[in-house]
Amino acid sequence: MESNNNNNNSRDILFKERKDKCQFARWYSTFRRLTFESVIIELPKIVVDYLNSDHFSTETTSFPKYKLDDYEDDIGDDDEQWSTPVGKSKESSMFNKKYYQSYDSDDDTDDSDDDKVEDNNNNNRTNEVKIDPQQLKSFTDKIDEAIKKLGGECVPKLNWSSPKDATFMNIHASLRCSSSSDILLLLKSSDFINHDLAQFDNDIKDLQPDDITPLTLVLRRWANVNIALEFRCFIKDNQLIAISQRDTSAFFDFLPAKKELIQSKIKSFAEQHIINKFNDVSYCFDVCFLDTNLNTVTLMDFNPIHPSTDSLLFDWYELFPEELEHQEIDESVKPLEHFEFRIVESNEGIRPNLSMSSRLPSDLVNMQSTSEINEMLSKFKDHKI
Amino acid sequence: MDEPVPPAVANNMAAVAASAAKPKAQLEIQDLKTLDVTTLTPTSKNVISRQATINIGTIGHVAHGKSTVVKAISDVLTVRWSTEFKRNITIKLGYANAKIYKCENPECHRPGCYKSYRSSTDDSPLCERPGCGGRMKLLRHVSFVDCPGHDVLMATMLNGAAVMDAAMLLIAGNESCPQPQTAEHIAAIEIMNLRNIIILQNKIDLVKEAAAKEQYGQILKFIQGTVAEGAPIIPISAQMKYNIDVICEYIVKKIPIPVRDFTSEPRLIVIRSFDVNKPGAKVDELKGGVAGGSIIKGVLRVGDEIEVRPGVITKDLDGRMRCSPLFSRIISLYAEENDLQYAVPGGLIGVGTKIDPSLCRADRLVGQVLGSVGKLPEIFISLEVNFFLLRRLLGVKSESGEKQSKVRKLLKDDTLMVNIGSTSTGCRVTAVKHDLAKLALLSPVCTQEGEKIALSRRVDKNWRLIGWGTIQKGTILSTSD
Repeated sequence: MESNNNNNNSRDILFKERKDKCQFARWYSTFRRLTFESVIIELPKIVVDYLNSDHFSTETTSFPKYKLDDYEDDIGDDDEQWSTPVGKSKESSMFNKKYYQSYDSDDDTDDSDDDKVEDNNNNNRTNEVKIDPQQLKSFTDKIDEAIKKLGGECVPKLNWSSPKDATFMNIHASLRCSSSSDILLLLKSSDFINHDLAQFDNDIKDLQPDDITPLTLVLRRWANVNIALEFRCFIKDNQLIAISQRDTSAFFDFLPAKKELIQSKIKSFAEQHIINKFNDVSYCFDVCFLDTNLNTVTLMDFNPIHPSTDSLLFDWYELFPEELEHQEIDESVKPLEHFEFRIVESNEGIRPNLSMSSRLPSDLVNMQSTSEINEMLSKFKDHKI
Repeated sequence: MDEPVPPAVANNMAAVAASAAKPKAQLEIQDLKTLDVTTLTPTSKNVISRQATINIGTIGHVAHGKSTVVKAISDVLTVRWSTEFKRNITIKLGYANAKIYKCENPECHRPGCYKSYRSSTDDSPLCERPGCGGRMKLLRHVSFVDCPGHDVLMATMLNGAAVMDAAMLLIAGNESCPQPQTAEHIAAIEIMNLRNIIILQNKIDLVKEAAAKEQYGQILKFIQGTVAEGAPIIPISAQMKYNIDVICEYIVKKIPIPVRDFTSEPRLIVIRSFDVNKPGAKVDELKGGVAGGSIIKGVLRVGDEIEVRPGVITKDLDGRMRCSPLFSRIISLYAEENDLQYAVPGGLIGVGTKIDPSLCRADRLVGQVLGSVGKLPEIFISLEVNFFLLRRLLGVKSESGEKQSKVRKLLKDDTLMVNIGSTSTGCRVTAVKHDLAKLALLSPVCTQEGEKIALSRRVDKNWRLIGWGTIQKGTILSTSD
């Protein structure tokens, strides 16, 4: 058992080191000529606190004020008085009161207008945190300045991740942002960004106390990159062992013919510019082609060899079998023997798009047990409006 | 097939079947001139020659050989998705279509006379039974969808209607039943409102007959009183291709032909969109954007004038939103590798359009609605909803305890996620009165009054379901053409 623990500890440390090396600010200066122009802005504590809080508001165009504490004790009418909803009294018998709240009709007479209700609510926000306007302004000014420098539109990310899972909140249905409020909305809506925040707290802070990379907002020049030409490359012990098409939910019929060309371009790019220049021996990096002749490889990002990185068309077991513990794997999966470049080969067997699951409540996505599903089901069945 | 075949032989057979299907198969001609949608059914020859019309959800643990089973039936190895080293191995299999046949030679007996091939196979291939010489007749064309897909769950919850027509539940024959996930899978089938279920007892080649029989008994006992009670249980070995013919027979005999609406105005929900052009394509060879999705009702035809709503959304300098629906024409239709002249509900349909391909890149149209020009619902920018909130979050497993799990009331300026049909967007609460709320949408949505919605809030850094609602009224966003 002890040796097992030791293994786990050294594995944890390895993972932490890998993550640390893939932070944007750690590699950008070395590779800046190979990647999108970017601006790094330190995240003020007040913004970190806001992202970590449960409060979410878009009430001003600049930045929301928010509060840290729960509301529940502040709201007099939020007591357990479960009556039938007045507005839909006819159907009220169909609600299961055990599961659903009703609004409290004692407090508001029917002729009360919206404003009154709102005023009550506003008065209850006693614990509201007002953001120092100066502090906020200096942050949004930096963002505005950066956006201007980047040509008016940018893609935001934190130390590791971009809020790719939250694009459904953006009117462009992409990461394309043109203002600080666009950026804050995406950051606040994203599980990936929360993952970064949590990872920062858990892994990085205790790694090198003297040399902490702060939490940063990274703004990168926006480009309408053709996702068909994005690839993830896996480096193991300074060797390129695998390349995968990045968009795994689409078949592009021109790709098979270009595969060889793409592979040779990426291989020489990796050898010339990445391997032995990046500060680690095993990692992933993403590239894309912006030019139509597929001449120039553009670096997009680095990612650690880690469970939270998507291995796309490969199984982690194929790439790094020695890092996997005994687990349930499909019997057909074997470790790779040679370099491999995988693309989606036909329209058959296309898998559904993953972005679909990030735009649903996590209750639905993480249903782990029967009891939860059944609970959900019974609650749903009670819902017959 | 009566006895297990050694794997090497089975693999060879698969390879032969695969290579045989390579040259362009003889499929039925779809002629738009003679098309009469009122006579179409989900088993019309002209339709099932080229596209699937029955959706079957495959439910089971990956380690139980889910992808192998789908491969054994459809001959398609679905693309897998995995993110985690261990635990939470979230593998999402792809869509795979298969044609199901029966040999017309009366000398061929059941179940061996049933056979499945991939979607692009001829409609009347030769029977493989040595000495038969008969032709196989195409009976069904089915689409396997990995379940429970969360989008499928959500759609079912909001609309109540089943999105899948049947479920195929996979149980490993070399493990005792029930496994913890089996109960979960049955619950999922229940949520998805599925009545037609086939249970597969896989990996039967790995156990002795007595053990298989014992497990059969365990399964029977386990499904008693559940939605799966009475479902057929078929012992199979996907690896050895054993009893795949029995599955085919059951699909034909036990899964009723779904009732479909072919005559309404067509509507497709976009679940993928992309730009398929090769880099540097010249203007005259440039292909328009492609939208993929499932047809909810009606028939789409090549040449149809179509509209995609809400289309391109922009915000002007003072924050006012505008949208321009996309107007275009259908240039091509396809289902997997088969070209179509017309497409009906069932499976995943690709629609080639003349829309600017860069607008379709990277799933930018996901959640939008495609249909005939002028026949789609309105585009709303704000909603008035009748809502009700859960008292507590589901699960109630929050470490912070009770207080955390309590759902607090809606307040003005709350920013929420709202699921409307197959669309998700953000919204800001602008007013609350009793059980009515006004929601300003962060992106306009094509929907209609009476539609159900789900509301979620960021709690503990996750979107958590807090309530449901019904659209009472919406503010229409005027479009700029």
